[in-house]
Amino acid sequence: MTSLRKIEILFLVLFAVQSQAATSDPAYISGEVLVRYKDSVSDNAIQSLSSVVAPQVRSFRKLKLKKGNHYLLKTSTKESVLAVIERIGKDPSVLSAQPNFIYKTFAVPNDTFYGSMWGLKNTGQKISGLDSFGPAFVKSEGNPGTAKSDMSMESAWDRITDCDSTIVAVIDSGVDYLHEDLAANMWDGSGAGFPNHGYDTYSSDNNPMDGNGHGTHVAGTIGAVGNNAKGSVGICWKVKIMAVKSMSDSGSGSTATIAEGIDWAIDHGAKVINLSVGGASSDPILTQALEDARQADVVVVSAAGNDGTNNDNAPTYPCNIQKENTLCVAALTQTYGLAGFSNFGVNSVDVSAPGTNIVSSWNLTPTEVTDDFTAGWQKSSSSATTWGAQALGSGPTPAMTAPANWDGSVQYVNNTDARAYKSFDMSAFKEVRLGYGVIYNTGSGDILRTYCEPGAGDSTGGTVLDAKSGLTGSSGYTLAYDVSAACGQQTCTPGFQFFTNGSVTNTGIVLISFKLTGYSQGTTGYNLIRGTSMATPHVAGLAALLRSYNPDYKAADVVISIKNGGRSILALSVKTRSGKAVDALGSLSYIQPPSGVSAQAVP
Amino acid sequence: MVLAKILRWSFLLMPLLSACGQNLGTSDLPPFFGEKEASVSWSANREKDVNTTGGGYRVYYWDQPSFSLAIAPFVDVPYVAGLQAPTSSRIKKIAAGKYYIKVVAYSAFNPQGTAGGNQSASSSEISIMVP
Repeated sequence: MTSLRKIEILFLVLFAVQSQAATSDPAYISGEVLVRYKDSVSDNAIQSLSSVVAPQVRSFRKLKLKKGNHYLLKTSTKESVLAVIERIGKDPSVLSAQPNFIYKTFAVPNDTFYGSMWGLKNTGQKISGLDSFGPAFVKSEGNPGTAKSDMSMESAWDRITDCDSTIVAVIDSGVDYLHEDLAANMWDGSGAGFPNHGYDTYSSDNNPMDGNGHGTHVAGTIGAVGNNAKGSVGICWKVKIMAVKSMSDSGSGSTATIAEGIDWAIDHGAKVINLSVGGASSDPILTQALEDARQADVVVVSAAGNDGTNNDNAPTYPCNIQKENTLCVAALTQTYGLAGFSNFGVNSVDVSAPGTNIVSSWNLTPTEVTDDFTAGWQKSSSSATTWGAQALGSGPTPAMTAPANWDGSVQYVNNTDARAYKSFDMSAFKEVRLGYGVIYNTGSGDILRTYCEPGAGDSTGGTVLDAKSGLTGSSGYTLAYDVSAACGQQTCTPGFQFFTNGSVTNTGIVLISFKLTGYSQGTTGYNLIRGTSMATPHVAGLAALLRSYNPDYKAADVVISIKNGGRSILALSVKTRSGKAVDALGSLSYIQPPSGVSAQAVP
Repeated sequence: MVLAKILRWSFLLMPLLSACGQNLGTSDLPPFFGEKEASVSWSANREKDVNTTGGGYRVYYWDQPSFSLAIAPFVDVPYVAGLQAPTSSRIKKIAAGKYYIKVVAYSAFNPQGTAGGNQSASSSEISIMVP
């Protein structure tokens, strides 16, 4: 009977563990209790008391607290914390006992644009364009998105935000290493003779400054400084970004520049490489460079391509080069659908990640050139209706109106061709955006045309940027156009033409605001762009996060964890090999099945 | 043989019945009870969470291949101290016979905020003859 009792106890304990694992969600640390003993109780006494009252106490230490004789006892996790407390409470030398509760930081970064970074936290927010987001424009595909279609970053950041132990090479158009949101997270290569945080294999010098923006955007997604109350936030709040410029400022590179970039990064300690680049030709030298990375235990993450095509049939390289250390990434919209532009391939593309309307750092910084219509506008008209500047009773003033005496009731005349244009010197800016606000009250067939032409001459009659006719209402429109071709690094001339036919008239046009935003190389710019190039660094950042979290991980482990820890999306199961959207929390939680199991009978 | 199967499964009910204070007599016997012992070892997992407090391994065993973890007894091998959780353990008090063994790794990290910890898929199943 005695031996049977022992057996029963043995199995009760066993099942206690199972049932605890299956039902409880303790907000306290398993296997630890905090006990307040009477002040007279010493370490030695606890040693002996513990051996009687809590035979499974493995270790203990006295807490350094001002009041009370508190001890942290570490017990077997086989007995529940509450059971241990109940049992220890029966010890007459114990005044009180409680679990060791878990507290967490609330890892929500305070970066300015975090609310627009749907891939990190999707609240179903609508992403809107801001001038501070640079010359590119917001896209409507999947916008607004679906709440929680994101990488679970806030939960992941509760575990780790710091990837400082991992060097991530961005092999791209360079990186704006002076950028306010990147400078602190750049790799320090000064000791190795690379004071500019990397290398330029395109020009074979040591200055990988980004003159394009693409590489700076990619770098920010991986590791824009987190919680610094400015700009965007990276998957890693802290990391070592190595800038490798293997692409020109217009965004093209070659086998030679990219393969050299990969080998240079490997040689200088990179453990993750981001390759948001692609081409259509099988490339033995590039394939060997990825093999070099495999042998050096380096993760390589590549973009699937932006042709909307199937990489199984029309490969994209390096994405289609598949090794244990490589990942090929497709792009998702804010609703976690495959982006229309994204390549796919159930046998060639591994995972997908956020890739539309992505906010990140940019090499160009905006400067606004506003105009109040009061000076410099050249005007002409074929009728009594003319353009004129006037201060209005409400809204931005002055405005430019047609007719010049617009008051909301005066009618313009038929068969008007009223024009106005003004030249602006934009030679300091690489890219330029034209923005204006307008209220229309026009009859059918009466048109406002907008122009913008290079040079200082009359632009009206040139290429039409915008034309709207027959609109009525007082709510107004805000319009914006990329006019870099006409205005970039030169003088350009925007213009307006109010053209009316011989039928119905109305009260006319009110231009309520006007500005040109010029973008020049700087350190405070941000941009909102899309592409598999933008999806790729979400995965490279996650790779860095995983390597930093699990220092024993090899490149192949990182790849396995990203593939297995992702979130299954039904529609992606026919688009990518894993059918998964990458998920930081899932990958941090993922545990590989143990291997190398062997057993033998004990003689 | 049928009786042996019933006895083998009856331990599943034991905690419930024991909690009611009932004496189950011979059905108290665990599966495969005997005086033999087997040692099991495996390669260390590289996840940090396995090799820290709340992490570790479970060694499941059964006398039929392709067994379900849900029914099988296991030996818990938690992380205790040092750089990693133990990578070996012993299955004690078993009878002579052929056993199938699978190892899983686990961590305290709860990924979904739901019940339970986080457990790996099981290792490849191996078999062992305990003479």
